Amino acid sequence: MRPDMHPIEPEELMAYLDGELSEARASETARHLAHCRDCQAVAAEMQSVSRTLLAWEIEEAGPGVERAVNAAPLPAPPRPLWKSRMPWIFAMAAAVIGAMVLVRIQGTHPVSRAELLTEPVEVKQAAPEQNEAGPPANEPREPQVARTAQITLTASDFPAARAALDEILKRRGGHIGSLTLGSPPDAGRTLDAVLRVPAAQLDAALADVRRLGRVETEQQTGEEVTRQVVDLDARLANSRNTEQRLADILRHTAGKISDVLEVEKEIGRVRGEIEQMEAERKSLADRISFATLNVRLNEEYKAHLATSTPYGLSRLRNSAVEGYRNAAGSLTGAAAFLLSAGPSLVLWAAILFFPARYLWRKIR
Amino acid sequence: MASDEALMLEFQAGSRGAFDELFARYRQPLFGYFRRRLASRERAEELTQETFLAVLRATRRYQPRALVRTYLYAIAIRLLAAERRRTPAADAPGDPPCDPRNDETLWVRQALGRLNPLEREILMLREYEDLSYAEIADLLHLPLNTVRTRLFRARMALKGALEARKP
Repeated sequence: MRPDMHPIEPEELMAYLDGELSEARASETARHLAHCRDCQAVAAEMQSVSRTLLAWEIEEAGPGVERAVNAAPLPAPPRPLWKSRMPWIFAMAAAVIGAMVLVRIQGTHPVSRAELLTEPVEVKQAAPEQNEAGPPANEPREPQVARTAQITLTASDFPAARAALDEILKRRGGHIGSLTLGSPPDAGRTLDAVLRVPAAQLDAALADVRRLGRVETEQQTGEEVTRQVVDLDARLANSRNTEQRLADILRHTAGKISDVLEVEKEIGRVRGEIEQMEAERKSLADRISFATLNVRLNEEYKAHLATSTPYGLSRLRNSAVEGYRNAAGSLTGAAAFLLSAGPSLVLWAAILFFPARYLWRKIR
Repeated sequence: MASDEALMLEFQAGSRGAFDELFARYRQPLFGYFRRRLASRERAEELTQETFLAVLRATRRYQPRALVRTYLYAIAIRLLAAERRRTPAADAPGDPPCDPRNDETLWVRQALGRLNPLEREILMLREYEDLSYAEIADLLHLPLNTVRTRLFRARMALKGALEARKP
């Protein structure tokens, strides 16, 4: 297979079949695959390899696995932080009560201040525990779906259909991702557009687009990305916690400069991770909230027969101009030849004239 | 249906039901992972069970930044590597099968056995364990492009073998 004939490498085709290509590259590959016989054959071969491999089936695991795992004791759930710090809390409370008693004896009454001091200790310790135990992954979520629709239409009035497409986009609050307009000389015009429409408006926008002409093909897909969203949220929450903890360490550290630098380096790394995940999350949210609508609009092509007369006239005119140009060209050419070769001809004629005349007279 | 990660977090908080659900989801896939790579069925069962026991023991170490599936296969890969170090002749692909179900299975095992070991592992993780390129790269500590290239090479080699087999 020559790469200049196939914009898709076989390895990329394999990645497409495995669902591992980016959205843009995947739709490009799908378009190529739809009409390329060679690539269809390669795809079929790869699918056949996968099917053959699936012939190796595995029997059910025996009940032994289940018994051993069920018999294993479940690890104790992590002890809440306040429980593990109980002795300290008791010790502190005892110290505070002792101090209070001492102060009472001395005749002053700062009881309320002492109470205020004890309270935040427990609050402070409970807070990070809540953060760790309750990431948003546990909450039930609505399924998150990134929707894509593809529609091919043939319109008889191409300019009107194009204008209507812009109108639909404006009405539905969408925008153009990319747009290519083709106008070949001996075929109808084509328009390929990737439109981004708010997901809630996709059905309405599709209904509007269908009215622009005769629908030839239509396809809709929805990619469920709930798992990616949950995973990303959990990872983000975790990294933010780590960053917070590192910042606390930095604030309270009294160690060597090298330690401080190490912590700062780690904070920089975690921040980088967080920013990358936030960007991923934003792009994922964008894919969920904005559906992709691929529209291909073909103009109904009508061959134009009425153009023969003006075309014939212009052809005659062109021939006349060419005839004049040829005549002028040949005259100029002859003149140029005479000018360039003339002196040499005169010279040779002068040299050969007398010997030629002498010979001529002798023969006669 | 709750995600694996949500179940794992519930399990970390002490829910036995969440662990049972995870066990039900991954019992057969993990057994398949070991069974296709080891000659002995008993060892495959034992290692499946050890994988879950390792999860039970190390529950608190799980961080939600990794997918549970990747986490489980990472444990399985480590256990298998230890098993191969202990008994180097334990590998299955290419060996005469203990229970050949049909000629096709036998042929697949032999064809896989002839592949380069790394390419075979990548191909099997993709086809049987259904892992993504990124997950395979993560598990085998390889660059993503290497996974893609090696997978392509393995599939082409199998395709060649398939064509050679046809009468």
